[in-house]
Amino acid sequence: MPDRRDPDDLRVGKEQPELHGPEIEEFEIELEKGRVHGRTALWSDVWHRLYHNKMAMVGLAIIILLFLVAIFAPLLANHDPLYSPLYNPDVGAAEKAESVKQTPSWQNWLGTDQLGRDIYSRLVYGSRVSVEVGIVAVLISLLIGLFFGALAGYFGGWGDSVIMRSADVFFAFPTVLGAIAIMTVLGPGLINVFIAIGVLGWATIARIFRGSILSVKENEYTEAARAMGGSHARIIWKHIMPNSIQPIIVYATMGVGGAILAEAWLAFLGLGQQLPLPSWGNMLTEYLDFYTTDPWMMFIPGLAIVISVLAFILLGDGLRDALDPRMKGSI
Amino acid sequence: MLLFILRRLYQTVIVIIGVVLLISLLMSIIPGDVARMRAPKGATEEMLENIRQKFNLDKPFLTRFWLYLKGLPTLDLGDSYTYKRPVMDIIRESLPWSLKLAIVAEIIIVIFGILAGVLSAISRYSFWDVLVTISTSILVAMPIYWIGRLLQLVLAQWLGWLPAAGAPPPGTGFWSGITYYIMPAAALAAISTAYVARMQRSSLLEVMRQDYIQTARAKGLSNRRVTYKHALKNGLIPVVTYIGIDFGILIGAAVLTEIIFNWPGVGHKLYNAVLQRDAPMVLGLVFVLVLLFVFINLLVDISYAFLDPRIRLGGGEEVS
Amino acid sequence: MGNNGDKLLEVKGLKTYFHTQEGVVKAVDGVSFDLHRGEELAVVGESGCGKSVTALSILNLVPDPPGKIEEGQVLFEGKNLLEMGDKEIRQVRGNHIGMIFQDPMTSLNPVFTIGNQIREPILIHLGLNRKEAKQRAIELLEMVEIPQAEKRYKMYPHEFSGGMRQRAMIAMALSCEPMMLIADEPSTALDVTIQAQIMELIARLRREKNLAVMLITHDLGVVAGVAETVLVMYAGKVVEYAEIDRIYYNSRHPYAWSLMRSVPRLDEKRERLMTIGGSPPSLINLPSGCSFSPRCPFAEDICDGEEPPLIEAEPGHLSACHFAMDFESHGREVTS
Repeated sequence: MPDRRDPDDLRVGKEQPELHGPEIEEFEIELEKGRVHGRTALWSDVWHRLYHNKMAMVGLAIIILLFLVAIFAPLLANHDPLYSPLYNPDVGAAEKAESVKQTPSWQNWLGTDQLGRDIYSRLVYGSRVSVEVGIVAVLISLLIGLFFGALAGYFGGWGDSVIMRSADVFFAFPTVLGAIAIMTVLGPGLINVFIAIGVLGWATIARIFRGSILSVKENEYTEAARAMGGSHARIIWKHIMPNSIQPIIVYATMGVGGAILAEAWLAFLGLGQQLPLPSWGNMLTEYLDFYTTDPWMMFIPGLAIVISVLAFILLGDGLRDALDPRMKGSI
Repeated sequence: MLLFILRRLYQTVIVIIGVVLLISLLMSIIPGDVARMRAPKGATEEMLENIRQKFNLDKPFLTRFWLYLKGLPTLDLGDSYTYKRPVMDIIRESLPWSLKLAIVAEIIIVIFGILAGVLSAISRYSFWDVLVTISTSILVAMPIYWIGRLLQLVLAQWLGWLPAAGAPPPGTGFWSGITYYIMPAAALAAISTAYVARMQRSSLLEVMRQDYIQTARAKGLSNRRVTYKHALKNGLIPVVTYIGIDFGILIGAAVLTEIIFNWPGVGHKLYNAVLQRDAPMVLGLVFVLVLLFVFINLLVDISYAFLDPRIRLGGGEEVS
Repeated sequence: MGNNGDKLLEVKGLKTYFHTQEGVVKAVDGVSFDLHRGEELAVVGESGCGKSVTALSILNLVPDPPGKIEEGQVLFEGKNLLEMGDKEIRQVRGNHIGMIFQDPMTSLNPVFTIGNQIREPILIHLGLNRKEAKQRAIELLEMVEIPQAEKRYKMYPHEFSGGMRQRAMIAMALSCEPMMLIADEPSTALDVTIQAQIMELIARLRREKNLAVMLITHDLGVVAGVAETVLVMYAGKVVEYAEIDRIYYNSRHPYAWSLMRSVPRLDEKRERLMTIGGSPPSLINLPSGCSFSPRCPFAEDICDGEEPPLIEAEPGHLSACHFAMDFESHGREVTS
């Protein structure tokens, strides 16, 4: 047979387009050196798809901005967030009265609050709380959830039942109620907020992860890997994880937004970051009281919260679309 | 179907047991010097001891656990620290108010949420769809108490159409009483409506991609029939189940909304209890609300069986 | 081709492209064929060659976006289906042309009874009342050999086995006595034994009702004994079109030719089975010249440069290969 062009030059799975409708192609399943791709996306493909999703990119940009603000807060703030002229004995009475609830000016970029403190600086420092809550709480949920989810999913049996029933119990507690219950007992304070939100969130993550593991476990390529002599840990790490992790990524991203929002809710109840230290939640709560006289105040932390949470939602949506190979190819 | 219901009941019972244990656990680990907070300033050690005894704070962990646990089946939730009355009594007084608000809110959620979601999915990428998508995205990201305040700002403060806060005073007629419900119910419903609309939209879009929709078209059915008969029935199923879960969010939201609008429901009481660190009140309320939530979810799951024949008939496959 | 009667369907130069982010996918790129009354045509090809999209294009069911029928005509009883408005073509769908799909589990609506779904087109197209439609639906279930038809009428798709679901789909597609049935991989999702049953059922119904059948499949074996004509597709184009025996025994295109030699046979001694290396090309970046040439055992320089036209290599036998005319000798040359 004349050897013209090497037919295997036309790489399978890479150039094959995914069409909408009846011609959906299954990627070929290759087993080479433990790298398997079944009906999942390769990471570079994922990034590529995400990159083209404008809304997701906007979300990502906002998130990066948020992180930068949180990290560089001391540099960005131009006033002491805790300083209030009202408590300064050197300031005269008239000046004190003047300094309160000022609308934005060159002195105070976002104005001053009811105690004359600079809102902009408080906002900047408050971003730290939001970022911390988002990350720490989700991390806690992930640690607990992934661990138990993996146990339940991979090993099954009665351990699975016990873990899942426990998860059910946690599901019965709506986040706010659960957090209130826990914090009433533990006491207020930021660290307790982390714990409360984090501990309450493990159940969903465990359930999702377990579900992924179960569906992946029975797939043929896992059997093949096992036949090749892989140990449990290796199988979980190299084969099951990459595929099961995808819904978790999406959920965790949205979860960060949810945690930020939860901080805002808890702040309203006086739980969480205690005054006078600023957090967006407690700032919003404070300014709510002035809605009849100075309604502009509540918009500042309010918008900050909304925009941040939205950013995470957008990114989460984008990730979900990018990770789902079926979505590829439309328009 | 019977099997399904029994299984769900069994699950529910286990969950309730778990909840009971968890709450009792929380109750038992309250530090003893809560008594100090309860007592008037300058209280003597003796007075503190009295208080501790009264609220069982001096007993060992397991005893407290058991004592509290015992009371739960009969809904004896102990006495509130602040109100000095049985927690259950306080709940009994305020729960009806919350339920009334919740029902109105739920009506709003179901009607507007599903409608918006369906219309959005049908006219994909149209102006309406974009509007719904953007507004629901924003709503979902807003703290509910802020939504409430904004409503008050616009509708009560600026426009003066509605009373800013409070429940209808006794003796108010039905129609004027409604005006008191509108804003709090709307605020309460806002976020959930957004979620439901989003869920409905994505569910319907997902359904439209299914093979059986193509079959329906190939049979010569009109777009209208395909959408409203074939797609919608499937598309509603996940939304109905979601509404059950959503009730939990609603409960949490109610707490905050009632405070903003000065509504005399359980949320209001919960708020005060939290501020006062009134553990029996908080935990008792949480317990009752969780029970309610679990019960509602059970109902929703059962109704789900009516909607989806695969669940109803147990999916028994026959061999050809 | 297939002179069993007059022409029912004429597809001329059909081009259906999908506009995706990665580029334009030329799923169907200039396909033409005819179907006569009572004829059974098999459209054969690998996954992704465009056969399913062709079928959908006939009834204008291609999802738009991202798909679009760019060019071509589909003449059914002389009228161009592609130019029909929505209301007009709905008269054809399910009524004059019935269609069944590959996976009966996902192709039937899970929340409605089988009876309800079969009754639907009857109510719409034939204008019978509920009771009459139900009666007819039950008769149809009996026609496709589903036992206890009256009981089954009230059951849901998930309560049926795979084979029975497909039978129900067939009943649904034939409910309004169409002149033509399009069967898109009707047996692929089923067990081998059930496959045979379904193919037999279709064959029987075809004989009884003088139904024209367009059978789409990737399995050449399945069409033996049922199809009269075969249309072989590759990468969106027609590469061969002839009576079935010609394709099996006397193919004039390297594709079918190689396929036939890659199958073990009981009656011939074969030392080695042939294989076709590589895989189908991307429909976005089609190679120049003949799409099959990278994998073709007979390919020569001209194949990379020029696209072979679809020519009549012998009466009633079309092939798109530069060497179609003297294929036999060319083939012998190369394989020796």
